[in-house]
Amino acid sequence: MSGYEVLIPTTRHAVKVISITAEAPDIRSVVCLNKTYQALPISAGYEQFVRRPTGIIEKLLGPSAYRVDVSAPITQGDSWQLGLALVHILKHNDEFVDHGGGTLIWASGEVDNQLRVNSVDHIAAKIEASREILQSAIENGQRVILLIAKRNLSDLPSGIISGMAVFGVSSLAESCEAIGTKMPKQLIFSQASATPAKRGKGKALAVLGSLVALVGLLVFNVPFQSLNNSYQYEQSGQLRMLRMEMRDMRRQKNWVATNALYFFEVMYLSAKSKKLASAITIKINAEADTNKQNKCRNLNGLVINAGRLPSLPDKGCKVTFEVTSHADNKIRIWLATIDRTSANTPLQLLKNGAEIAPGQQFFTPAVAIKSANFDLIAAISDRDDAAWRGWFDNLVDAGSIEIANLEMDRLTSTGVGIFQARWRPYNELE
Amino acid sequence: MNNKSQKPVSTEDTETAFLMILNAQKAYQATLNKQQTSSHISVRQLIRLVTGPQTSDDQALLNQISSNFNARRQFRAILNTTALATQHRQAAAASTSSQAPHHRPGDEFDLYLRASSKDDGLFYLQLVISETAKTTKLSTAEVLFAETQGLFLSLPLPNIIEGLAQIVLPKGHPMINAFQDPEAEFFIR
Repeated sequence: MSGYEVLIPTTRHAVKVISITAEAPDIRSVVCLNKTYQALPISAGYEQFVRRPTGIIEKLLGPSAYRVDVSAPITQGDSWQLGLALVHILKHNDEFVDHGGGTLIWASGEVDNQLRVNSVDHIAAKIEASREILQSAIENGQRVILLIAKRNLSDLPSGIISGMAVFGVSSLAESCEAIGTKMPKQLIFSQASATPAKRGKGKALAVLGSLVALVGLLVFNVPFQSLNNSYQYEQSGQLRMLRMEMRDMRRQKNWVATNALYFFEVMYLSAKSKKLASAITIKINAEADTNKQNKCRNLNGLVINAGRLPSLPDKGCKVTFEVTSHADNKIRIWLATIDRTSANTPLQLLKNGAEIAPGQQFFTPAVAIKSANFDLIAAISDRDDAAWRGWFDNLVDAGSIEIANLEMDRLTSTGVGIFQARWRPYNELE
Repeated sequence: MNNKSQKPVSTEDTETAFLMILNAQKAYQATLNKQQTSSHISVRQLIRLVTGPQTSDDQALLNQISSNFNARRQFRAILNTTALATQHRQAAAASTSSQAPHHRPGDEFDLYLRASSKDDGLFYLQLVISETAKTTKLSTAEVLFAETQGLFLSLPLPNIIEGLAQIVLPKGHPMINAFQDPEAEFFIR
C-alpha cells in the first residue's frame, strides 16, 4: 500500500477527501459534496484560500482554481485549511489517493499567508467524532498521522487512540516533513533566502553576499508570477481576468510590481491596442444617386481617417463600409455607427462584426448617414470577442463621456484596438 | 299508449340507477373541486415567490404557474417590474463568437456555462454582472429566474463577489436546458 488518504475532522464527523481536480482559471474554486453536486458553504473561503492575492495555493503550486469532492459536509470554520493544503501538495507530488493508501492523515489547523499553522478550537471533540474511523484504519494496518498546530498539543484528550503518530507543527513545511512528503520548490526557495550568511569569511565573500542578497531581494520582489499570469490571461483572451490580475498587482503597493505593471501596460498592451487600431482601413462605398446629391458621389471611395471630421451632406447618403485588415493575424472586428444629434440618447444605426484574415475585407450592411453629429466606432482584437464585446456594446450605448471613457479604458488597457471617427458640423471645428 | 310494451321496473334496477346518478354527481363534484384548487394562485403568492425568501415549495408553485396561462402572464409581469435585471432572448444567428454555446451575453449580466475538468457531468453556471454603474445594485441579487419553453425555473444565487456568482449544477438540470435555449429569458432579483 502506498499513497496518502486525508481526513478533515469536524465536531460531528470525519470528512474524507475523495478527489481534487484542477479547473480552468475562470472557475471559482469549490468544495463539493461527493455524488450530490452540492457546493458546500466553505467554498467561498476555499476560493480565497486558493487564488492570489489572498490565497496561498496558487502562489505555491500555480493553478488558480480547483474542485475538491468530500464525503460529508463541512459547514463552517477554517480548520479545513491544513488538510486541504496537504491534499494540494500531495496531489502535486502525485501521492494523494482516495482509498487504499498506506497512510491516513488526520489534519486540523488554520494556515495563514506566511504558511504558518495556527491553532483551532474543539480538537478533543473532533478526535472523539473521528475515533471509529481512526481505530478502523489502525486495525487495517494503515499508518495514521494526526497533525495539529503546536499550540493545540495541550488540547489532546488523555484517552487518545494508541497506534497513531501525533505531530504538533508550526508551519506547512513542518507538516510536509512530518508526513514525509516534499514541499514545492517555490516554498523551499523562499525559506532558503531568509537564511543568514555566515560572518568572517573575508571582504570578497561579504561583497558577493551583498550581491546575492540584492539579486535575491529583486527576485523576491519582482512579481514574475503576476506578470506571467497577466500575460497568460491576455494570450488566452481572458481579458476580464487580466484586468482583475492587474488590479491585484496595483493593490500590492510594491514599487517593483507597480513599475513592472506600468511597463507591461505601456510597452505591450497599449502598444498592441494602437497597432490593432491602425491595422484596418475603412472605406466608404456611397450610392451616388441618394437624394440626387453630388456630395454623396464625392464620398464614394473615401478612406476614413480616425479623429474628428467635417460634417456629412445635409440630406444624407446611403453607404456601406468596406473594412480591410492589414493585421499580421486573423482579427475580429465590431463596427458601429451612431447618430449623436441628441446628446443624451445616442441612436445606434448599425452594429456589425466579422472575423477576417490578413488582407481580407468585409462589407457592412447599408446605412443612411445624414447626421451632422455622426460617430463610427470599431473595436479590433485578435482575441475572442466574448471577453470584450460587452465593453464595446457599453461604449456604443454610452450616454455620457464618463461612461464612454471608462469603456475605452477597459478596451485599450487590455490590448483591444479602437478606431473612432467623428463627423461634426463645420461651426464646431471653428 | 301501449301499456303492454312497458316492462315492470324492479327495486334493484331503481337502486342501481340511483347509485349511478350518485356516483356521477360525486365524480362531477370532485372534478370541480380539483380544478378550483389547482387553478387558483393568488397574486400575493406570485409576489411572494418573486420578492420573498426562497422556500422548498417554490419550484412546485412555479410548475403550477407554468401550467396556468393567467398565472404565467401575471408572474411574468411581476418579474418584469420587480427584477433587478433581465436578460432577453438571444439573437443566436447574430453571434460570431466561437464560444456561443457557453456564453449568453446580456445588457446587464452575462451567463457562462462551463463543464468541470473532471468530466463527470458537473457544470458551473456563472453569472457575471456587466461592469456598468449599476454593479452595486445588481450585486444584491439573490435569485436567478428563467423562463424557457413556457416553464419558469428559479435558483438561489450565492453571494455575488467581484461581480460574479457561481452555481454548481448536475448534467440535465433544467437550468442548463434553459441556458441552451436561445428563446429563454433570465431574470435576477
